[in-house]
Amino acid sequence: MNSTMTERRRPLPSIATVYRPIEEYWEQSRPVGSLDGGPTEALNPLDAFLVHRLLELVPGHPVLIDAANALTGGASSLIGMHHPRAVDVWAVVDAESLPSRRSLESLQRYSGRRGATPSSSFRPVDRSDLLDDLAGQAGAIVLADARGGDAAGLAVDIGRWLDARPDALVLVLGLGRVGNCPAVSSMMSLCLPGSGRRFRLLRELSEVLMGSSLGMVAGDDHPDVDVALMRLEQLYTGNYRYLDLLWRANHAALREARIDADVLRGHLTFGAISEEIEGLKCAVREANERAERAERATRANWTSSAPVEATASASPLTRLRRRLSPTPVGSAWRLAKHARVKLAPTPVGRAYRLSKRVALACVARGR
Amino acid sequence: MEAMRAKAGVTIAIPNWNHEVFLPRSIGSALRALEFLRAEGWAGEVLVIDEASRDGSSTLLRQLEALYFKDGLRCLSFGSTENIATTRNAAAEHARYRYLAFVDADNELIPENLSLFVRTLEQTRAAVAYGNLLLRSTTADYAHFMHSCEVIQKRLFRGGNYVDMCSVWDRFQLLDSGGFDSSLSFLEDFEMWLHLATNGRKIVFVPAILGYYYLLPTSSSTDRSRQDAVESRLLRVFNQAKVRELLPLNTHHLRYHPELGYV
Repeated sequence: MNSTMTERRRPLPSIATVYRPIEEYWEQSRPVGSLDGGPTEALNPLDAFLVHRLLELVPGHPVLIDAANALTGGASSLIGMHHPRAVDVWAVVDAESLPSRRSLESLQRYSGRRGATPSSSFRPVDRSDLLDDLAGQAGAIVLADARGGDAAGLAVDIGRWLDARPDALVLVLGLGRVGNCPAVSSMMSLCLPGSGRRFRLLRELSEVLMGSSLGMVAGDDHPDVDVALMRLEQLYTGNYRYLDLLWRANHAALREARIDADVLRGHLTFGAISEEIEGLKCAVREANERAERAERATRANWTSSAPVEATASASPLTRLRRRLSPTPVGSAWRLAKHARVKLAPTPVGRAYRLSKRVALACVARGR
Repeated sequence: MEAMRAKAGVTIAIPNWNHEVFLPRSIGSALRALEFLRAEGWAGEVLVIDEASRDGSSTLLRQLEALYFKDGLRCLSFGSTENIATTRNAAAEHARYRYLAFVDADNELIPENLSLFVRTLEQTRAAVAYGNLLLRSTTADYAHFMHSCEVIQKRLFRGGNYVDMCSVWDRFQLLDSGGFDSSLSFLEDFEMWLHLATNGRKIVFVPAILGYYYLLPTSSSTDRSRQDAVESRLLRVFNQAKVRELLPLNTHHLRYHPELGYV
């Protein structure tokens, strides 16, 4: 392979990158005694990613105490074993449980095949010793699974863990719907007001997390839980809301169908509005016609007694003369013109022309 | 990440860099294509590779992966931006399946047709199968032109690429031939066609429409003089003596349809 092809960059965490080692583990080890089906039946990919994220968001040096490995076939331990923060992992083993022992064997085989890796240490812890070990361990994040069927027993265990280590976080996999899931009811009973504990379902952080079955139980006063959950919520909060997107998609489809015209035509309000609009349009048309007729009439009145000439090129004096023509001023002007024509060949006319010449000569001499 | 043995199936790889508004279209078409593939017995995944986008793509991809992981959507995000050649190489390295379809984040697949190209690769053992792309303006619901609609011919060595990267690959042959030249910021697809052709690999044209190619109002600025320089370099690398058109070429005029054979 060309060395330029080698991807030197490490991808940021996503469901794909977190779950891939689990898929590989499942293919290689096919753990016996775990839940039937593929790895997604044993461990929900979204929940695996959320656990990974929480390990990242909780400060300090977290320790993942995997009390769910019997039901997940050991897959849940891999979340910590492949975490870039080199999280320590305890696999809780119940010596009397066959699935638990087999899960541990699968994990040990997997660990052995990987040689010096995984990056974090992995140690089996007997369930009977868990409380004592937990009491002395800071940064404990206990992973439990509600699918074992004993909801009440699980609640008792969680209560004991939190009593032994009040600053521990307990993450519970496999929680079903509220009202349908006995484990959810047990968790709520465990975390009643005044109990000093709080139960949260991570799917409530965002509508896109509705596929999660992960819950969290922690002390009311745990210093890091609220911030961690807030950061997780913000990671999954974008600009879009499902309902807005749905509305826009439906609206676009309705526009494309162009049903507005049909709807209006068939509705009882449309007739009255349409008539009113048509009436107004008619009135506007008639008013325009009347205005045009009035303007034509006015133009005709002005020019009725004068010869029609090209007005566009007429001089202002010519236009004035035309306007004055029908008036007494025009009549006087025409009379004077007539008189001048008649007197021109007579001595009066000759005297008029001589006096005009003398006046023009004096004016020229004066300049 | 450990390399897994490639399984029979199809990875639809969508490289993304700041194309948030187009991702739902491309990812939606890819997921629909997976449904058609599964109906024909193929396994598949949609692998979105995000190159440190800043426009909201990373949040959107996180949300989409949470919703559609079970339908086959996988997201890889990198914290730094590299060029498209590096992104495609990352897709080849991280893909789970043998056949790899590249779709740009601003384009769209025609879901029903993808299997034609996969079957072509299976039957011809070609390295790449590509087909017609219909050109559309940004929001048009009709095409006004067609692109990438000719077979590989020797005139490719004279310059001027006419084959788009929206295509389906045999991932093994891509890896074995060294992948894309990650030193190139553009024309890496042109370089790859020339590289495969000169190394005897087959590039087959399928006379079917693979997807829609959308024209966008702005694209990343390309310095024409640098592009010309790269093209000159490619011609120097692959056809310095200008004899390629006189030499044999395995991939010359290969046109194939899985229902008809070579046409």
